[in-house]
Amino acid sequence: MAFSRQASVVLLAVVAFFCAASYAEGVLFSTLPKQFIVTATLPDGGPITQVHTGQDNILVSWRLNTTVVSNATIAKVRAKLCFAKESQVLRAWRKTVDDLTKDKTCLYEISTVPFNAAAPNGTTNYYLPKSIPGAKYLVRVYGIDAAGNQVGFGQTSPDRVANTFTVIPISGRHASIDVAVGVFSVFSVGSLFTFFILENIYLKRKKAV
Amino acid sequence: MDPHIDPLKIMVDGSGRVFEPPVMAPEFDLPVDSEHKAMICKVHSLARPHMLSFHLAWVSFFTCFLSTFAAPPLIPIIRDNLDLTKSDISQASIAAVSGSIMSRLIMGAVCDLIGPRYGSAFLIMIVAPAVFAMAIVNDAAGFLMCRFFIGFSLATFVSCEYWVSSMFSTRIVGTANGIAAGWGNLGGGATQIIMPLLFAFIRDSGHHPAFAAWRIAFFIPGCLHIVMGILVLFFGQDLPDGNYWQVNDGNHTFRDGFQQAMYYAITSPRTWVFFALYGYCFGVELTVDNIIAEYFYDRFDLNLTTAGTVAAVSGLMNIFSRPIGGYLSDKASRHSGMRGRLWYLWLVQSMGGFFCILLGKMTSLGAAICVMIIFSIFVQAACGATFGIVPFISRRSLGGVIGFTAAGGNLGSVLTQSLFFTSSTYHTEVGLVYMGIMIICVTLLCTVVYFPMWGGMFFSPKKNYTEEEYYVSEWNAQEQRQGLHISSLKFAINARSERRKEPRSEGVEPELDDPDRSGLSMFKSYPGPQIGAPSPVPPSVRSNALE
Repeated sequence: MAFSRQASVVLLAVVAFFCAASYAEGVLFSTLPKQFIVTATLPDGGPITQVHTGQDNILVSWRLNTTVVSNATIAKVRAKLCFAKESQVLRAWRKTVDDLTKDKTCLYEISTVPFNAAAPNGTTNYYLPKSIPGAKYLVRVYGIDAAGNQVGFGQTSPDRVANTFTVIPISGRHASIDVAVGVFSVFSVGSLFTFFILENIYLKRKKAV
Repeated sequence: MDPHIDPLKIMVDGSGRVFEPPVMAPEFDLPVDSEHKAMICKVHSLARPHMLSFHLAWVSFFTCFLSTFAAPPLIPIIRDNLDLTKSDISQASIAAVSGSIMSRLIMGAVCDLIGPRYGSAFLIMIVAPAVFAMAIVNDAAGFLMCRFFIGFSLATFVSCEYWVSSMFSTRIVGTANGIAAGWGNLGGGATQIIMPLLFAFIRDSGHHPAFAAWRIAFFIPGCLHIVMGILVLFFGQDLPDGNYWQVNDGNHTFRDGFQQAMYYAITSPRTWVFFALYGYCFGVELTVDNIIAEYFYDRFDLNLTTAGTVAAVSGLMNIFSRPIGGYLSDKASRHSGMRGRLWYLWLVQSMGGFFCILLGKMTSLGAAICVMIIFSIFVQAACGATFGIVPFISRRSLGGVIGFTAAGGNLGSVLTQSLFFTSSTYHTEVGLVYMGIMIICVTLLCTVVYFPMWGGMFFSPKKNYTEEEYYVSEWNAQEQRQGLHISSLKFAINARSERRKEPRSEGVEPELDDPDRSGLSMFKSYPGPQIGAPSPVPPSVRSNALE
């Protein structure tokens, strides 16, 4: 009796621990100052309308916004590819949440570079990997402090509606996959009917004997 | 007259159950009854024909479950490749389980006509092109079509149960069916581990982009379909004595036409209650197979392989939970007869609903996994418990009742997915809570189940109404004159085990006290749907008794 009581107390403690562990909060996006001005262009400097994954590059540049004053010291600058609002519709796995630890707006990292207050401007050349899905995107840059928390941001689109660009994905299909599908399907159906026919012939021959 | 039945060889044991002793049949590795059906199930053996057919039956059902639920663990990749919305994904998931509503109904009749070996091999190999076609889909419509056609293969449940029922005798058929169905359902769990691992292997070792790797991964289930189809055709055997075309030359037991077989299933109200009930244990299991990997990936930020592993744990409980569900139903029956089975089913399925509500409320990963495991055990045990009762609903239309119940399972999955996991207005965790509430409400239908000879959860049986009257009344007077009802009669006598155990007093069951007289109940004729004077005892039967 006493043992089962102890066991249930321990079990409750374990469950409570797991429940409590989930309540840590992160930085809220709405509190971040707009410290950076960010532009994203094609490598030759022209505006992006659409780019292809697996072949094209984009050039991301940022500079400090002198009108916004912030006390936080930035240690690193992280550039990320973020979804435009229209690519989040009916797709809860890309949802925007103010708590940045739960936010799914920016799922793809472009680069992280150290920040130097003496030379605050930066650029990075981003080769679009084949794993990026097709959607409308913008580029957002975060200023990260030494503890790893976001302290400022900047993005290419003011409201994630205007000034977004389209990324065209790969389909994932090759000619070899198409051929293999055809061959295997024909083999499956063909061997089934061949077996039926041969067994019927065998049966008829057996009956005739 | 079934030539295999020898009335004088019927024995009665102390519990009042009538059974036949094993017959001498040295050509078989296992002890067999008079129909050459095995009387034990040796799971580790491949003895032909019984155990080999048993393993072919459950492995082909496993393969179909594997391919039907191969897409869900890869949804996070597929939804990016094909640019799917939440409603596209859920419509495809619903399509995956809705195709087999009809195919399960039809498969019962197909097994009757051409045998379970041809039935399952045909289905597996015809569906294989749909599995391969997944590799070349480009949009939501193609994805939905593929999942729809692959879902047809879930009808192998019916051929698996039918095949196992043909190979194993009545005393062991419940356990054998429970093991075969449980291990087949494992496919839904195993696929959640296998597909992400295959995907990761192809992407990393094969150096393919993610959007190509998932397509290539679908070739594995497709090839398994072809391999199993060929194995079933070459090594499977419909009946212990041979295949249908060998045995079916007039000497075989009477077979109903499709409509006749369905009639006794459709007209029994109990069939419809279980049509609804099975939807809220098996249907819920199918729904969870469809949504749970994505739920863990999105809500708890796990990577694909980890989310798949966690989701697989739910399906893997099937190794023991469904067989134990059936076994405990049998134990409940030994204690309190059919009433015990009904209370047990109500309890287990309601607990499943309760833990479903709890699963939606869990906010941390560890707690969610624990609750998911307990939820899966109860839901799968409820499936096993359902099929502890289903064989008693009708004897003549057993295939029809199994087909209806199985179809109801899929319909329940379609309903729960449409109601709770399609709309974007609320999250998956809220859908789980609502689904749990609906499970508890629908499970209250157990209270409505009433067998006239055994009663229900709250009601007593009709006075003096026997099992023989219930089962033999499915045959009309003319059919009884031909002796076609004999197997139902045998079953009815065996089914006396479902009575509530009352203290035995003198004269309560005089037939069982006198072994010689118990054989005589075989020769009474019972009025069927056409109420008329009982038909006379057929002379061939009477002369048999005197020998």
